[in-house]
Amino acid sequence: MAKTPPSTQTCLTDLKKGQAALITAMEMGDESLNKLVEMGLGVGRRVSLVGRAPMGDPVVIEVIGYRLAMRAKEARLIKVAPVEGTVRVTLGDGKNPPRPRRGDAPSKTTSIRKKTRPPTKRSPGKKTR
Amino acid sequence: MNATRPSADCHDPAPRKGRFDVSSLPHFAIAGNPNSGKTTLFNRITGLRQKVGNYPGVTVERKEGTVTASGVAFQVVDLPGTYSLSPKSEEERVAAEVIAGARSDLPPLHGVVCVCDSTNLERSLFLALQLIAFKVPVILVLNMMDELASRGGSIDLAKLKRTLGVSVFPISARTGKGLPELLDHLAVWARTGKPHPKRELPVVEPTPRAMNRQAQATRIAENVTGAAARPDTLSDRLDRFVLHPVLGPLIFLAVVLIVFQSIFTGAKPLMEGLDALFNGLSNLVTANMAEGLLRSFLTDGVIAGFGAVVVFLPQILILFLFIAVLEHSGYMARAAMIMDRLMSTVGLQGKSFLPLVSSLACAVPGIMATRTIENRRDRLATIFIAPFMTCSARLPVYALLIGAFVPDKVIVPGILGLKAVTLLFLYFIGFVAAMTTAFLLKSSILKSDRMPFVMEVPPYRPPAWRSIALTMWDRAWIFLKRAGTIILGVNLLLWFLVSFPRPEAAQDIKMSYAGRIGTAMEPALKPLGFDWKIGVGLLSAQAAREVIVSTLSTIYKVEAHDDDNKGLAKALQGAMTPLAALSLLVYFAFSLQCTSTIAIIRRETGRWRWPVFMFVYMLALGYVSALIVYQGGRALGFQ
Repeated sequence: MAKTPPSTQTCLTDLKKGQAALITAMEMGDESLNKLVEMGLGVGRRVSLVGRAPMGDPVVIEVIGYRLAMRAKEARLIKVAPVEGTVRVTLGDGKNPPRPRRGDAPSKTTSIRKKTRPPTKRSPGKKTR
Repeated sequence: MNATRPSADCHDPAPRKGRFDVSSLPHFAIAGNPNSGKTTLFNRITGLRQKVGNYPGVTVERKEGTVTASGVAFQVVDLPGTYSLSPKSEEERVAAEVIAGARSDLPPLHGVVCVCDSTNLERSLFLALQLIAFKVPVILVLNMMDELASRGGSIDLAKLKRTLGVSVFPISARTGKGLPELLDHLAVWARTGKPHPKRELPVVEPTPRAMNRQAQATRIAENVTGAAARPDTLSDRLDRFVLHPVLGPLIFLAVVLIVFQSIFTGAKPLMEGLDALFNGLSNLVTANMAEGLLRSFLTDGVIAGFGAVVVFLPQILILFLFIAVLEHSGYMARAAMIMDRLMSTVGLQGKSFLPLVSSLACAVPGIMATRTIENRRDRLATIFIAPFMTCSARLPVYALLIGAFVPDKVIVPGILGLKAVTLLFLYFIGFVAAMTTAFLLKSSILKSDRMPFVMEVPPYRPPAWRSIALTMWDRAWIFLKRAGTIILGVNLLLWFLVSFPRPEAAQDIKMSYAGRIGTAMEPALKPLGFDWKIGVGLLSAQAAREVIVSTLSTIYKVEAHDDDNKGLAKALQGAMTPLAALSLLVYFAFSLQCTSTIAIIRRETGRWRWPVFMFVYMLALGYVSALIVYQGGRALGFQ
């Protein structure tokens, strides 16, 4: 399993406000990982940074349609790959489009680094929501 | 841990013999995520026929209620809110045990009602899928349908029912819509169904399976979503202010101030009213009864005892009104976020702030407020340090001693005098003791399991007032029943110690049991600068701190509560040195004297080991600190 050096990895906390990304890795122990997966996180899931608390900590993220506050120390362990441009954090725009794909949820262990590749089913011109 | 054998006194509600034996009724459990409106639903359908107790040995609360629909009666258990059945936390373990029928204090269930947040179906379905996979009979209740509809969203209920194979009921627990149909179904189920056999407990779900399950939940949610709901821009717009770097903390401060002022000052008229009521009752008895032991028992024992219990009610009710409103509306999560950074420096979390601030008024409602902290260790740590926050019962004692012994020196003309500085100093050492103890606890015996701290941030919602009223009622009832009995008992004990043995005790308090205990304690008190009279005072302060003022008045034979206790102040000036007074102040700042607090700690933690531990720890701290102050001061040449 090839490991990219940590310094080149984007963390959840590096995202800009309103920016969406796909989770590529979660560098933590099994127990912690299990808990976060039950809360909706996990490799391949779409997540966005909604904002930060006044002191900068905790950060608020949006995942599977709801919002979570997480301490920066732990959010830094979640590595992400930003998806095209900044995406407005919404639950839909009132029309009836298909929900955005979340990527495939692997049934393998989640420490496998997922190469970021552009989602294959979309073309740049089409709206994703 | 005796999870399967409840002892009689902490098994609340026990099956009541005679009139109505609820243990024989069909039982249902309500499961669901926190913030899914589960409790609002429970409150709606059970109303006043609910009881709150504890599962023995854990801090998880147990809520049960009786429902009668279509002539059928059944029992509903409100499980703690959980995101998953995987038994990792205390809440999840208890919920899993109840569902599996593995608890001996609850019969096996007829079925489970899974409450889902219809505005966030894909997350809610995770738990629902777990329940279905666990093969318990389950029905789905989609709550907050009104909110979904107002945002233009819709769900294909028939499709959801087909996909999952379970009945689906759309409701709004807040408005009551959809409830009659749900209750009818439950009534039929109760009548025609039967208890599900006992199951093996679910095991912790491995991560890959959990990931698949969530993916499945997401897929199903996508498939059954008719129209996607419009985004909740109201919450976003409000959060721009509430979580603003400058405005946020200001709004927070304002909210905290309002809550505090309400408990501190707003409750005063009610408390004085109750005080007057009990005084009036006492006077009535005094006027109509012959002088003697029985009269003294009634006025100084029973009535004073009841009064000591009931006087807390206004503060508890007001505090829980605020907590309920803050939680329902969603602001509590934002407030916890704002405080989290500060609190985590000592190892606590953001939600600890409200119990601690409330403890500045009184630790009893403050400790009850720790209920909002889900993490068991953080909750215990907060309970432990709450009594260090300078509560309002200490103030009469501080006022008396500072007034009698601290000179009127001016530090900052017009603003700060030595008396005020001393008071602030006492507040300060209380706060420091609290934070230091928290740090010590969280570094050792209450160290956090290295689980990540995550907290859901729900959308802002209007509160459900009836549900709030019921919650307040629950809290008041819990307090009266559990703490009230202990407080009353201790008050009666104290009355006994002070009034007996007859007839010596009537003439000279030194001859009473309390006096004898005080005299026996004297060797331990002398190094602190105290004598047996203070000893008796400390004994009575163990019932409630402010009682020492009236006890000392009795001992020194002065009129109690005459303008600013001038009589007592004079008497004390003759009886102890200023240094001894300082030592006494420090003792009061640190030691755990309030029986009500001890009683509530017992109730909230489920066992005696915590209040005993706290009592010993704080007694030691208080004693040693007072010792250091007095002896150290003497060594340095002070008086």
